[in-house]
Formats: sequence, C-alpha cells, structure tokens
Amino acid sequence: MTSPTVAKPMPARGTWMSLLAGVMLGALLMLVGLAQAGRLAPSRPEVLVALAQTLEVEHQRVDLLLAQKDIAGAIAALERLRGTEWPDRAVAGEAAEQLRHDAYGRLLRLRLDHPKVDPRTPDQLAALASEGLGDDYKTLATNAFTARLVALRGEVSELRGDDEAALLAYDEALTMNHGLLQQALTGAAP
Amino acid sequence: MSPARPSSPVSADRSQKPWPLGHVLIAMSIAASITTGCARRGAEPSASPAMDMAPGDDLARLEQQLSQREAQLQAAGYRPMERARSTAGTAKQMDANEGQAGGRCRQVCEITTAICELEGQICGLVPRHPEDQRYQAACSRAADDCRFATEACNACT
Repeated sequence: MTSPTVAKPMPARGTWMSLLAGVMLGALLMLVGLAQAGRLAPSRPEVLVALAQTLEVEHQRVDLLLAQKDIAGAIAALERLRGTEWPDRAVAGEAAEQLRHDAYGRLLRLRLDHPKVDPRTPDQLAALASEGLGDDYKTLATNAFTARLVALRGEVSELRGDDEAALLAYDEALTMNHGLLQQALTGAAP
Repeated sequence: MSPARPSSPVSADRSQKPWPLGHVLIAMSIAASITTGCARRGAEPSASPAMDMAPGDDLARLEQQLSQREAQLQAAGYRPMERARSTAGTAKQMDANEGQAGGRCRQVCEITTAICELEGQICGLVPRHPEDQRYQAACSRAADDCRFATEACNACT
C-alpha cells in the first residue's frame, strides 16, 4: 500500500522575494569587498589619468636633473612630489598607489645612494619608506614598484642595524619578484 | 501507520520564515559570480586610460595641461618622448608585435636583476648571523630563485 504524497503548495511569492533579496545582498557584499580591495575601476578615472601624466612629466624632470648631475635638485623635485596630496585607492584605483610607490622608491633610492646630499637619519628614511608604502600595500596586486620599495625598506632596516627586519623585507620583496617572474613567463604580466 | 518523517531543520525553517537561508545562499553565490565577472571586465586594462573617460571636456583639458608641461620641458632643453598617440601604420604594427616579445624578455631580465640583487642582499646578512638557520635558508632560496630567473632570462634573449 502506498501512502499518498501530499504536495505542499509552493510559496511562490516568498521564494522569489527571497531570491531577489539574496541576489541584491550578494551583489552588494561583493561590490563592497571588491571596492575595498581596489580591484574595481577607479571611481574617478580622470584623477588617475591626471596623476599619471603629472608624474610622467615630473619623472622626466628628475631624469633631466640627474643628467645634469643635479642630485640635490632631483631629490628636491621628488620631495615636492611627496608633499602632494595623493588620491586614495577608492578614487583613483590601485594604480595610483603603485605610482606613489614608484615615486617614493625613486626618492629613497637617491637618498640611499647619496647620503651626503640633504642628509636624513636612518629613522627618517624608515619613516619615508613606511609613508610611501602605506598601511595596506599588502592588499595590492603584485607589482614591480611595490616590490622595489619593500626591498628598499630592507636596505633602510640594515642601515638601522635591524637585520631581522631587513631579512623580512628582502624575503617579502623576493616573494613579490618571484610572483612577477611567474606572471611574465606565463604571459600574465600586466 | 508509520510516523511522519521528521523534516530537516532547514525545511522546517523554510516553511516558517519568509527568508529561506538556502535560497539566499544560492542567490548570493549567483550574484557573486555575476558581479565578479563584471568587475573583472571593469578591471581589465584598457588600451588607453583615457578611453575610460567619458567626458570629452576633461580629456581635452588634460591634453592641454600635458601639452603645456611638455612645452615647459622643451623650453628647459628637454625633448619629451614620442607618444603612442601618433598614427600607427602597418610597419609600425609589425614592429610592435616583434617588440612585444622583446618587451617580455626585457621584463623577465629586469625581474631577474631585481631577484639576483635581493640574493646578494639576503646572503650578505648570513655572515653576521652564522648561528641562525633562517638566514641561511633565505639565502639558499634566493640563490635558487636567482638561478632560475637567470636561466629564464638567458633562454628568452
């Protein structure tokens, strides 16, 4: 004897409402997550374009000064860049932070290579590296500019006599470069 | 008469609450897939950053700004690089294709330089910490990475 099966009436309206709510909630959470990670396109791309063009010209100016052996002038030009207001990731995307790492990396390289020009203490150099990297550089996609600045931070740590911090920074930079190499070899590099 | 099969907590929950958890989770994963796809498309680098700019006025303003800065540099005796906005003919396109492979090799070799410099810096710390195995291990790893990268660079060029 078979027992009759009773089909429950489908709560169609409730199902669709919950489906719609789920879609909206999922989309919202994903967008918030991606935006926080900076993986979305910048909210104001024109800011990124303006920043990139300004930096291109400034780097060319530094090239010119270095060609003229004007180290102090080059350092001063990069220090002026340091003083500018850098757009954050939410406005100009990850690329803006990578460009900042490029500029700070160049400044730090010059300061390390020319310690007698407008001298800075090792602690000041460490502060410069930290300021350039920012708090959440580890959430950025792997890129050469950040890797270089992290390696420079290692050099500064060595200068301060902190080999432990130096090893950590060098190892971190090595991991980044290893990732970049893999990307380049597989053709996935940006 | 057999006792009624107990319903699972989820189905019981489903019958009582207006926001069934199972449906919400399924819908969230669908939405996540859709939005991730959209975001990836949005995150892909475009041919030119300027292409992302909708307002033509802004682009014109930026171009004008750039031209002014280039003029300032030229006045200072510096000649700015030729920009990619110049018209590209077929020959240029072929050069670009060849250059792409060369560019990749250049990139591989630049990364190799960075890796091998790091090897020098890491292994330079070892003599100061002969008793600490971590320094030696990091040095060995860096040496392996440098060797691998050098081989990749040599094979590429």
